Amino acid sequence: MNAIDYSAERYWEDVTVGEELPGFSVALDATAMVLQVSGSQDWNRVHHDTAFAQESGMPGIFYNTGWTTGMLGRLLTDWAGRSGWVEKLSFQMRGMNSSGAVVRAHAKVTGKRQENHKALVELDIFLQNDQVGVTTPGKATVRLPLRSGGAAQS
Amino acid sequence: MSNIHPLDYDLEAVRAEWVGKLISAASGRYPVEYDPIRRHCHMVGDLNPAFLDPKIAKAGPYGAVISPPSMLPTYFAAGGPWPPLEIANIESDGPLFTFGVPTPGDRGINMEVAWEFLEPIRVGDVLRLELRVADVFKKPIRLDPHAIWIVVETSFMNQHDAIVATWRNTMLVHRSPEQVARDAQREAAAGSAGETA
Repeated sequence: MNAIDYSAERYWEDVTVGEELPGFSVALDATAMVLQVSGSQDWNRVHHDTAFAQESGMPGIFYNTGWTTGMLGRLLTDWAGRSGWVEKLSFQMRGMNSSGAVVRAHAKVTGKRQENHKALVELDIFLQNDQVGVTTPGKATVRLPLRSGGAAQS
Repeated sequence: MSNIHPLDYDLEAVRAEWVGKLISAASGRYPVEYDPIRRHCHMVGDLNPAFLDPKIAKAGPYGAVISPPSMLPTYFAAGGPWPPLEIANIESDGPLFTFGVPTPGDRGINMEVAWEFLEPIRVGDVLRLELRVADVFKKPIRLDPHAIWIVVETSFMNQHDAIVATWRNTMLVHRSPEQVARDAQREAAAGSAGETA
């Protein structure tokens, strides 16, 4: 069930530093692996060919950058509301997300500021794997509307 | 497969030739389309109508379906699937994901990504990219003491020449365990003969 109201706005004034985003989880089963290749169009064999991945020195196939970016992007746009805009997104792939794991995307608000007429929120973002812990830490900046509807103070 | 032995790999020469070089100025074959966006969304269970529903998106803040920020614009700005089989002007005997930069190994892992999203990318937009090598360096990993790291920076432009996104990507290129073992025989022989890498 998807309970997100995509028509709703999220206003900058209503965001609290320290707030946790709802996040979501995905089970990396066989269907998820196929969707990963379909959705990303990343045909590198380490992401779908177990024998090739193992011959490359990996324990098995692991999920690709397009999937990783998509998970973190959805985490942010699910939360940012109708007019929210992801300005920056960066992450490090320190661990592998492999078949059989359950991966949770989650985030925490670390700061708020108004700068160059923009109302911005800073977040720490994560993909966390139930088998190996945090695989993908990162940071993001999201621009949100103000309740006043005006431009943010510089 | 590059098959450059680490003893023959001249990092400084590679850096001198490649760092700062414009690797590709490619344009998308197709405009931004609905269905690749739908596939991207379904990959991660994203049901946001701003990315999926033309009727709802038309009434939204961007007036049309937009690409999720997390959908790599590379797909629409270059040759489509990855590795970039059809990115213009890349000639290489090695793996295409190195963008032509020579490396001893031919196995790649993406390590770090940084995006900045400046303008919405709408269905129907026509994208192009300019990709430059920002850095090449050697940093050992458990699998390969001669692993090479390649940093590229890419700007994405739309049909109005507005920069819609920038991307900085760090990729690690390593040798397979079989290649490491094969290369080690010569390294051992070189060591016993007094050669240095």
